[in-house]
Amino acid sequence: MTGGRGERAWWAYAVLWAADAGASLPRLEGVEPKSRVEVVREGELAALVSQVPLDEYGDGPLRRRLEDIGWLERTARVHESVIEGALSVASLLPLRLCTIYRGREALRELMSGRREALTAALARIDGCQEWGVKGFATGDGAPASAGSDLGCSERPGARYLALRRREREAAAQTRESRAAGVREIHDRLSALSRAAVANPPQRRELHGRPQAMVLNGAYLVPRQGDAAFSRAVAELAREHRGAGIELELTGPWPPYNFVAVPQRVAA
Amino acid sequence: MNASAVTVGGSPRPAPASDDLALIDLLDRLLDGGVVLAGDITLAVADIDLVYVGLRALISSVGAAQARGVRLPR
Repeated sequence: MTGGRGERAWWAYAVLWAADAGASLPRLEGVEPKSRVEVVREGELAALVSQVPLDEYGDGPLRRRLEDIGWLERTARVHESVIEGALSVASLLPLRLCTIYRGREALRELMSGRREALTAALARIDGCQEWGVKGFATGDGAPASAGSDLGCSERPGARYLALRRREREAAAQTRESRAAGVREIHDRLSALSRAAVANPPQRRELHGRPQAMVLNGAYLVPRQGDAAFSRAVAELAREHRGAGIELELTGPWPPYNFVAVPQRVAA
Repeated sequence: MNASAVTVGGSPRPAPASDDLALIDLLDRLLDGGVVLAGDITLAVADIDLVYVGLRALISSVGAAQARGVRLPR
């Protein structure tokens, strides 16, 4: 889609209850500098949107901009800050980055057509926020013993092979106990959550740490359970440090991982 | 931004300023999570793949710069 000069489009951030989209909503700036975040209402639902110029956010220009990582980062952070600003007063469904409408009417029609799925999703996340817990493999857990009790010093070849076998066994043991630790961490945190998901670990070249990621969990936690949840993360971190697992807690996040609405089946 | 990261495994570290919130954590959520509504303009899977290719290049160059002790502009 290409836009003529001066044509406007609407960048959408989130869907929430219309009743929550009232005066208590903070004043927020949109992804386009100086643009105001506005509310589009449709029945009991509302969406947060802001204007963008279509000649910069149409299909072609948008694709070119995505290759500019600086633009992408700024835009992602503004999108997130609008959602978090609204999250302080309302439960909401965050929308995926770059959901753009040519007119407010198209968005209204969509909210009306997807009403049931959207209200069900809002009910599921009501009163909850998302926490992220990542686990990294540190060191190699309990180090293998030096093999001083292997004896047989008159047969250095056999001694070498025994040593290597012992190292392999120890490494396998470490991997197993670490995997068991990760399962236990995820299970215990899931028990404190309304919903939980273990996402595929981020690749090393993306998270930028030397250690491998062994857990990439997201947890939907009722707000009154936040303190208990972060205490549990700290406890689990202490318990599993010896097994070579380091934990990192991020959040609270809008519930990005828990708002999937069924796709409409294509006609 | 409310979301912040704090390491609770090794030695305790203060939570970094919100700007330090890892871009990868944010983009994983914004590009892979969230509600997918049919917009007039939306990202295709191929666009998102493209973003990750760019991101990987950026992160590896940032990592290399930091290893050399270069101070990066913020």
